[in-house]
Amino acid sequence: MAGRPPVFAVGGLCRDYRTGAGLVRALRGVSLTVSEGEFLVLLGPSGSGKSTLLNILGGLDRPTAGSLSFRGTDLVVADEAALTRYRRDHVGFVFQFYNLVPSLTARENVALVTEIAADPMTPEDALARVGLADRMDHFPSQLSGGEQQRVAIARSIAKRPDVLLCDEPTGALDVETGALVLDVMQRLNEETGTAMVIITHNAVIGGMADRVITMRDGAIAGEVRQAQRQRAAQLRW
Amino acid sequence: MVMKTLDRKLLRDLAAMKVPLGAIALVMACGVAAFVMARTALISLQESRDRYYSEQRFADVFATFRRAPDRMVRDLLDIPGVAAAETRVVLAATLEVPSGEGSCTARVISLPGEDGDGLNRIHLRRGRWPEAADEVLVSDALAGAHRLEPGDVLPAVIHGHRLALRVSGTALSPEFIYAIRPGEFLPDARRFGVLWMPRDALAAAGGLRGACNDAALKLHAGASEAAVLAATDRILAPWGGVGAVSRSDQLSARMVDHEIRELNAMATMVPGIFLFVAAFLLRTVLARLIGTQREQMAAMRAFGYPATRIAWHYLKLAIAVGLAGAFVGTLAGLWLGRSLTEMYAGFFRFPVLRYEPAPAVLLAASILCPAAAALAVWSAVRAATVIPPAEAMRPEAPPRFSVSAGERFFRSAGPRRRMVLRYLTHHPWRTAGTMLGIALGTAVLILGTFSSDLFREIIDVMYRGSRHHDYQIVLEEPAGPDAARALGRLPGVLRSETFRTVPVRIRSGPQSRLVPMTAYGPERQLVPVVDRRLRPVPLERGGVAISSELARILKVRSGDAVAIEVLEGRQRHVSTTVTALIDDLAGLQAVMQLADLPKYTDSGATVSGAYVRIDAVESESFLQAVAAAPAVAGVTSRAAMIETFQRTMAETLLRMRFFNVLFACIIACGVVYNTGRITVAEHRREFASLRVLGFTEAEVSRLLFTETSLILAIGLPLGLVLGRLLAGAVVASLATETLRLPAVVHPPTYAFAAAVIASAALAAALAVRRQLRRLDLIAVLKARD
Repeated sequence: MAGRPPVFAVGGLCRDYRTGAGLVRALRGVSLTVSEGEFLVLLGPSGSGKSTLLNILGGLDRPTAGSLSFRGTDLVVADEAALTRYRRDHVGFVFQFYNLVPSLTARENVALVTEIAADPMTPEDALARVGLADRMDHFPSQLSGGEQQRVAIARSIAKRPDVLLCDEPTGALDVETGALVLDVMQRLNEETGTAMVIITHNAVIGGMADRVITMRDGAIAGEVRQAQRQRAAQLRW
Repeated sequence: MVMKTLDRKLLRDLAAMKVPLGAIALVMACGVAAFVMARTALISLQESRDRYYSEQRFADVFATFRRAPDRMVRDLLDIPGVAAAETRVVLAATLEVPSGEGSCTARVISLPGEDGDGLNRIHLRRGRWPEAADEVLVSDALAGAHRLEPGDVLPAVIHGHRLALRVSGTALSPEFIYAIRPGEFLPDARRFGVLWMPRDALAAAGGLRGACNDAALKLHAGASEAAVLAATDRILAPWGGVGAVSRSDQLSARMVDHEIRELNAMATMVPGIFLFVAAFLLRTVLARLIGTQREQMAAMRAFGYPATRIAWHYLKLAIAVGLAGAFVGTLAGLWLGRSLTEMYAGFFRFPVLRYEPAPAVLLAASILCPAAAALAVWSAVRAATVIPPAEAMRPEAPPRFSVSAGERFFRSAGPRRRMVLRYLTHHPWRTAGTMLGIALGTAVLILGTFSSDLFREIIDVMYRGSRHHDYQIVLEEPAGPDAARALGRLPGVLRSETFRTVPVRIRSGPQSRLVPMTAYGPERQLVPVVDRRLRPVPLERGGVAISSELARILKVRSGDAVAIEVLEGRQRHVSTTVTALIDDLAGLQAVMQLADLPKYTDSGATVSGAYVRIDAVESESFLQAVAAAPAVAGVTSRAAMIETFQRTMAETLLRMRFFNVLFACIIACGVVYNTGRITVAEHRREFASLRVLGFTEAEVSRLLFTETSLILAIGLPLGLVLGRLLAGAVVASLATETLRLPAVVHPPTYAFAAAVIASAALAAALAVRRQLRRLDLIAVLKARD
């Protein structure tokens, strides 16, 4: 991946939260670069700061200190409207609990995003890419967990984002289904060149990444580059 | 005592939900306020009236006749059931006081003698009783309007005699609590009042020495009123009786009764609407609360709390809201009741119109509200407590959505509109209730404001569309053709149309009514005979046209025969045909052609007065000439009547309008705020997802506004229709023989109601939008619902 231009350039990123119990230092000076098309896995226990980092990368949260730029644009100084714009145009999110709109069908959930995107795929195309061409008119309550997560992924990639940020995408799924979802993500990464940052507890998932970063106590504790990526379908945990 | 933990939870739940629950308590408070206001004012009015009637020995039967010897009273006393009888002299007077356009007329009534039975006793307000022959008591309102003080001289023309009366004091009478001229609806103290003067002096002025022309009777408890009325009419027939009336038909008493009925209607309908809406809102909000606390409830059940304790816990929450509503509403109702009663004191002249809130009303309000609240949430509480703890411990199953049946109409709608549509169709009852809430708020507003349309319609129909004269001149006695010509020659008169009024009893079988029958000449440009839609009603020779209401009472139709008993002169009985029905707004009238008059009376071609149109520049000399004419009993200006109507309308209606708008806004805000809040609470995850997906705050709030707009799109039109129906029902329930109010709601009233409700709804939606802003995107998305 070295040699490709960076999508994210992060330097000395800190994030403090003031809670009833006092100051919580969620991030303590994180620096890293994510390149275009890179498949990055963030590993770490609960409270290690990986979700905070992901949220800041995605424009859902702001750092207390440090620098962050997306393709050269400074996100630290961006206001709320600019962050919304940034999320709308460049970022796709996938969450552990899918967060689909239960009152909309799979197709409509995707259409929700394609409506406001500049150059989207059709909802049908996005759903076909995640293998749900025949489930498009089902409501979330009529879909299995894996199917719902694939709709969530279709919804995220339909606008052709530059980065896809996934927070425990397989956390609520069984092994089989989880592997299926990861396979979809891997293929998308390869076919569309979308950079992906995936957070997980599950070290096995690291096998399919270009790079695995381990976090502990709000800082980067380790980093492994992998020349050979495993196929998602082969992963078992 | 240490507070139980569960009660502490109750207080914290209440505190956490103070805005939505407070909004519901306010809606309840509106209902309670309307209830307390109307009921306490009604009881105060009723009690003041009853006390006044009994203290002043207000008569039960009233009779007017032409002239009878004083001794005739013995015949009246002999009627079975009559406890007391009193004869009087009652004359019309024109007062020479500045009164703007038209004359100021008065009824002059003889003071009861020392030996009288003391019926219709007068209440001395200021000054002293008349001692000299030229001294008079002046009705309090008249004195107030003309700043008459004891000792002032009051020039008056009574029966053609110009007298310089002296005011000895001011007084009130139970006969004139609501002092209006016959045929009018609103009191105007500048143009009408009552004088009381010593009988001998009045009889002398009216040429009635040793005689009387009016009588009042008091009946024994249980006496048959109908029998007494019939006997009175029989006795008075030879003396020119024009028919006795019971207390319920006495002009002032009837208006007081009418107001009491109106308050009664208000005390039931309006509170009912508000309580219904509040109950619905409370149920929705509490069902949602119970839904989010399922797991807590299950845990408590697991600890061994009985289901009844938990049910009671939630019921207490509802009751607390009910009590808050009752408390605030009662305070507001007491304040409103007091100001309403004070307003009444301006119309209804009582010695004391004391505002005495009846404790029973307050008690009823404080029981009704919490009871309604508890009842409203009962089913939701029960449904929650019967779920086995283990089941309740699991989160509620995700909502199942489906494509709703009506959705093919919205094929072109994008996913966001569909989201909203499906929220609404997913909870059909809640949505229907919300729309109904908006509809009821709109209806309440129309109900509270349409009375100005009513007044405007009455003015337009009765004083504008069907009347084109400037002044009506009424003669003291019917006079011959010379008098008629003289009226036409008064200075400034451009056109004059005479009329003749004959008091008659019109009868068909056992049904009969006393009515003034009016005869018009062939030219009827100034006062055309028209119905309420201003369509001309033909007046055919040889028959009478009567009010539709009169036809209904007499059970006759056009073409049927009726018997006319003339109550003047030789009292002829004539049979005639009803040739047309007049669908009119007020009173009972019978109209015929002047040429038919000889069939009914021997008086020849006489007139009772004339309608005239005058040249505006000569109005002053016209009024002077009329005032100087000896035979004229009074002159009324059409413009002045319209002015009185409009002034009264402005005074009374505008005051109520503020509260109507306030109440309706509270309902609309309460409904939209609570539904909107629940929408946000239930769908906060989706709203957060949309924000994460890159939708702006404005785009997400548009969902909320789309929801509000859809609710308004159905609720508002429904409310306009409902308002019209309720207005019709109110009008129908208040219709009397005197006044059949038209059920009209003009477009501006609809527009005003719709605008107010829509603004209130949007304001509430804006308030809910603040909740959207506070959504913690990350926390919402991470949490498992």
